[in-house]
Amino acid sequence: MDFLPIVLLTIIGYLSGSIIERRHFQSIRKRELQLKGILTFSAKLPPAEDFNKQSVLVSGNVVISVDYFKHISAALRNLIGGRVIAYETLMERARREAILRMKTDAKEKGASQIFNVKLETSSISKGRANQIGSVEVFAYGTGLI
Amino acid sequence: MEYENPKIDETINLPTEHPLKDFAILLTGVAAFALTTFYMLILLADYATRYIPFSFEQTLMDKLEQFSALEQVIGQPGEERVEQYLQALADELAITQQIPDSMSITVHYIETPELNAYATLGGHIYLFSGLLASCDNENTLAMILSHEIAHVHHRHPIVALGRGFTIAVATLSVLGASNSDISHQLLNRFGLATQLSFSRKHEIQADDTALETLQRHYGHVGGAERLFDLIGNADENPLNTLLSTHPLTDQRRQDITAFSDSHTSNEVPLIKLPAWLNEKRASKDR
Repeated sequence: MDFLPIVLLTIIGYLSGSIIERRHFQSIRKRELQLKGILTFSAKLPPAEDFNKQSVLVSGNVVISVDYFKHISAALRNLIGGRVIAYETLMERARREAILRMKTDAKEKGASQIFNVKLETSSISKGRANQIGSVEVFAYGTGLI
Repeated sequence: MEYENPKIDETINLPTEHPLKDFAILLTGVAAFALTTFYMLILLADYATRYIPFSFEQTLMDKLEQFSALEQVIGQPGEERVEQYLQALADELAITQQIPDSMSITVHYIETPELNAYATLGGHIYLFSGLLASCDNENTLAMILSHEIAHVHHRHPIVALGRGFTIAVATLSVLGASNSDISHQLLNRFGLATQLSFSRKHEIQADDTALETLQRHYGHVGGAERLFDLIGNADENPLNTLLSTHPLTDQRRQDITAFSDSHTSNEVPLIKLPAWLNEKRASKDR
């Protein structure tokens, strides 16, 4: 049996995956600082004094693919159990990126506060065996102008 | 009221461990576990396959022959006399080797220049004409046959088959049997009854038993070492498959010499092959 393709894919996956991940985190940190002024709240309603403000739906979503290295690493982890470190960073990136996109949407619509922020996640190609999956995170909330 | 979204502490969510370190630990652990399990399964298969009755081997081989190409190469017309001669010699050696009554040896003579002979399930022994043509006395031929009979005697073919299937099934259960390409490859590689590869340990055991058989049958083991002259000369022959699975020829030759020295001291006369067979060999050479 030929293991060479698997080994090659894992190496390529690791190299490309780690470069992309490092750059993504740099970009996330930079933009989080830039959009610091837009506040997010999980509270359903804004304080009473803001009730007369105009509201708008703001949202942002992102889909990030798993690389082959993460796929293999997680597959091995599945046999043993424990923290799937390979996927933890992936989810962290997706969550923060989705919130950033929602904030960007709010900024473009002129909102400076977002209430009732919610996050939804789903995995693409779920249930199909031997498929490299992608994760989607969708962030939405009520922006106050 | 002033609100602020503080900067989140990244060490909470992000792992501090390098992903490669995690991967290396995982891979080593899983590989070590898998290898240990494989090894245990193989040991278990080696142990358990010995209890498969010989009659089952014969039935299995009959079924395999029905859809294999073996039937086409064996039993060619005009070679019955050779096969009968080989069968008679093998039967004598089998009696000398004291194989159980339930076992039977069937010799097949195959017309091909390859220097090879092998034993497979159901007590079937295949001798290639290339190897027979290179034997110039009965003793060397008896060594080859005794070696293959010893494989059957010690149940090596069924053990090798059981081992092969165990590896195939264990690999499939890890990789997932749904991958039909891999399953076909594996079952083809390990399931072929005609391409069983015996372990080095099995070859040495067969050598030992064959030497004892020769000693008992002829009173000496002269001629046995000629087998390795044949194999040794065939080194450059790309068709030669005998060496690949057999123990180091030099080591085996030394073992035979040691055995020979401890049992006989003088030069011993070797038995000639029947005249008609010699003529046949001579005609092949031309």
